[in-house]
Amino acid sequence: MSAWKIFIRGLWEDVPLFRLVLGLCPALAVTTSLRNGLGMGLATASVLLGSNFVVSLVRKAIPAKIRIPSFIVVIASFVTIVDLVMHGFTPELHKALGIFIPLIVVNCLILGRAEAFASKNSLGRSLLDAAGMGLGFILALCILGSVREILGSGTIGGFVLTPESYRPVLLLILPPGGFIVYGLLIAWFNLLDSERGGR
Amino acid sequence: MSEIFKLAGMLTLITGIAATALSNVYMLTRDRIAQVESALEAAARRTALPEAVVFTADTTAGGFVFYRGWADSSASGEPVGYIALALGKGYSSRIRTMVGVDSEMNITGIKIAFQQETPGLGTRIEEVRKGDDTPWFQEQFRGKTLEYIEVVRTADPERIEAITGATISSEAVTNSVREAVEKLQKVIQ
Repeated sequence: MSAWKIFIRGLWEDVPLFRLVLGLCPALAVTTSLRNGLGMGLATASVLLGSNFVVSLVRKAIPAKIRIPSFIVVIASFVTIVDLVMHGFTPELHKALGIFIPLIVVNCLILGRAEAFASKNSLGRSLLDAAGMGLGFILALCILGSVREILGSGTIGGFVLTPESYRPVLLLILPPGGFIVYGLLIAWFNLLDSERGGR
Repeated sequence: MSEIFKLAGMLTLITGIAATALSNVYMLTRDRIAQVESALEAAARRTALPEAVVFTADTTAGGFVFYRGWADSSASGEPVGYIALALGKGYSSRIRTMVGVDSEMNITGIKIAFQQETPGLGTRIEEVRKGDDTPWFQEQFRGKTLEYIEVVRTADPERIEAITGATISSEAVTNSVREAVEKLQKVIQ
């Protein structure tokens, strides 16, 4: 696989949220607004970069039998670092995302990439994989967050968008709305793909 | 047997390295986090009791923590007011609110310090309306005395108007504020 291919497939062919259907729990829980989606996407992508980096670096030294616990320790460490840094430097976002920051540890996207890719590939390729998948995850969360914020609260990035007379569809920022928007977006992705003569 | 020791040793090494790295990051961010937290708290106290410039903390025998607020930096004479932390069980979180009162037990302001209510509904307890600078729900408490701190479903400037679709959160804040003022009243008088 060429370097470009490794990178770009995270953005289309294997985009984590819509294709691999990985990392669903934080994605649906926090994407009530663009800001939260972007924040969660950036936090997850940084953890993914760090974990792919370290896992790929030590992949030959780690015995196969204890690879999963080792990966989890690496991931949990990066999550704690992200948590501390966000608490100190972006306190408001940290407050808004709350419990979902520590929960990045159990985001299956990160362990999935460590196990399926970084533990078998060179450092450079693993970083490209993390960058592609991370960007794909950020974009997906931003799309989800934007749709839900615009229709559900009538704002985007906190700016009021719709006229006074518009009554926001509250359902969309509640948990069921997350599933509804997510389902529609998957359908849209499949439609785009079949029009391109994909699978 | 030797394999077990090898694996255990390897895991110990990995967790050891992780722990070292984490303690370093913690040391680096600790001061910054403490700074951010105390700045947030100071801002909340200013909103709750705008007249005071210095605060001194006090704890009653029952473990109730409150602050005395002083108008001058020497903290002498009579305090201009008091601040207590109100805790209320909301719809999906424990809502923490800073409540300020003057010496006559009129509310000088409240500031919600922590909440994780339903986005778009319960979180509107912190909503700032278009064209306003301050959250309207919390603004309603300013200047009210104990007997008027109750939730009503209609617009009533004398009392606390509930947020549409978020009665539980509105009541949680209101009831916890009332309890906090009652406790303060007992402590002070």
